[in-house]
Amino acid sequence: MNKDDLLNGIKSLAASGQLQRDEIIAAFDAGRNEISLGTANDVKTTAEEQTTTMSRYSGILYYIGGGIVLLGLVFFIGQLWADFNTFMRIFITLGSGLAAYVMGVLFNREHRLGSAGPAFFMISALLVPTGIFISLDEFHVHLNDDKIQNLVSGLLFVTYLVSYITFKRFVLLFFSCFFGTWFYFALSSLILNNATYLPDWRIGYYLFAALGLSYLFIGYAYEKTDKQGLVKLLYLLGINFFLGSLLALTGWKPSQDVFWELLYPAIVFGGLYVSAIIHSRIVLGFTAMYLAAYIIKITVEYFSDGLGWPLTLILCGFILMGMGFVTIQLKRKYEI
Amino acid sequence: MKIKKENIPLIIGLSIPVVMVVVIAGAIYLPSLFIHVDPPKYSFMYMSNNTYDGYRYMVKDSHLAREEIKTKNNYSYSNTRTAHIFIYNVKTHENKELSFDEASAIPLNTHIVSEDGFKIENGHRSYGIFPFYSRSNYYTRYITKEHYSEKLKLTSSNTNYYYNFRSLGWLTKAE
Repeated sequence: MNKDDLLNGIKSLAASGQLQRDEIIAAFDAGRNEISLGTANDVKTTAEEQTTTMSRYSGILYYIGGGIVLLGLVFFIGQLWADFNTFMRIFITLGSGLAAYVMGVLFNREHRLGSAGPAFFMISALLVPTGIFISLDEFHVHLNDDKIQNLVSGLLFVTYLVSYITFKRFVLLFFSCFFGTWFYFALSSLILNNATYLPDWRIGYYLFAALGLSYLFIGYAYEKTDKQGLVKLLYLLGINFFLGSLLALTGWKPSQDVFWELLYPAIVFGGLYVSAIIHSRIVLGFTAMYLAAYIIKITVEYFSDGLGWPLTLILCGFILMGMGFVTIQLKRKYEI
Repeated sequence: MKIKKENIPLIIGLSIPVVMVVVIAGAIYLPSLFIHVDPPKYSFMYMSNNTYDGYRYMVKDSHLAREEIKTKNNYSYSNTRTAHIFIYNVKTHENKELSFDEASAIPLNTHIVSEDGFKIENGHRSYGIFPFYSRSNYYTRYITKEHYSEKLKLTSSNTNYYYNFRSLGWLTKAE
């Protein structure tokens, strides 16, 4: 409908008494308001985007700044280390770490300072363990003793987990995962080293597989939050620890483990299904890679003698190409 | 207490390592509760392996013996690193140092496994600081049999070293 048609229509409706003057003015005003509201919303969205971009850049600068502060501190301590006595060594490392933590807590309350709080939390998370180890070393305590490892990692894990629950900062969650992982290995080492029965050395693979699965679940738990960086890291490490360890468990002829060789493809297909559910490209990509690795392993292990090396190579090449195709199809179909 | 549905993955994720640690502890400690193995009865003789005292040591006719190393070019190894010979008491975990003459008078069983079924194995102990762990460690040694294993307290960390430990044989008399 063009303008002339509309005006002619108004004339005829007004002549027949079906349209009032006020109705036309009200419709006109409503149209004007919609335009102005739309413009205002556009302005608001742009402003929000600018604020988000600004805070992201300032956050990155805070973290880089934190890293540089730490680096400077390390060089400063390194230059004067020989001149420091025990008290100064502990004070400058552990003391600085604790001070950084307190600064993190104080800055965290000031929202106008953006990511300054988390940057100090990062410095503290790197300095406090160093400080603890230097303190223990100064008192001639063996650092690689299982009990010491458990004590330090457990203490740091609990501290940073409680801090995360209190302050809800990404960096605290990241270090909670890190210290938690350390505690997990320290605790299992303590049990293994005090064992009255020597276990199979492959226990390390099981430990890593369990850790990988744990990372995948924790990553999924934070999938719908703004902590996407951590989610991707957990997926990346999780899928590699899990499928990599289980692939290692399958072994190699003649000492292969038939149980894991039979179970592995089912687990990998489960991984492909999971990647479609959680819409993760990382999980999909690495699962496809492990499936290809498994097929190549089985081909080389069992069929290379019969087929010969050149044919095995050709087959492996086709398998890789096929896996690439399947991955792209899955990605398209499930919008991963 | 009602658990929120969205927290279930987090709970599972945190539970997996806990369950794993419990399973490991169970797998290690439970068999020793149900399978009883008598502790070792036979002590063993060992020596520091990296000796350069001009002699080659061996067990001949169930007794420790040695031969002088003769070199063509007059190069002498003698007394650069003396051999230390010990008896490890499996009951008291004490190391008794012996002279060569004392040691050569004691009859030895040179089988890898002792008469009561024990053998000496390298440790699988981990060492290092997270994340740089290593699980194959030769610094520790264990006396083992089936589900029984006991860490040996050999003379010093120096003699514990892989290249510095040479088992000579089991004593033929039980402790």
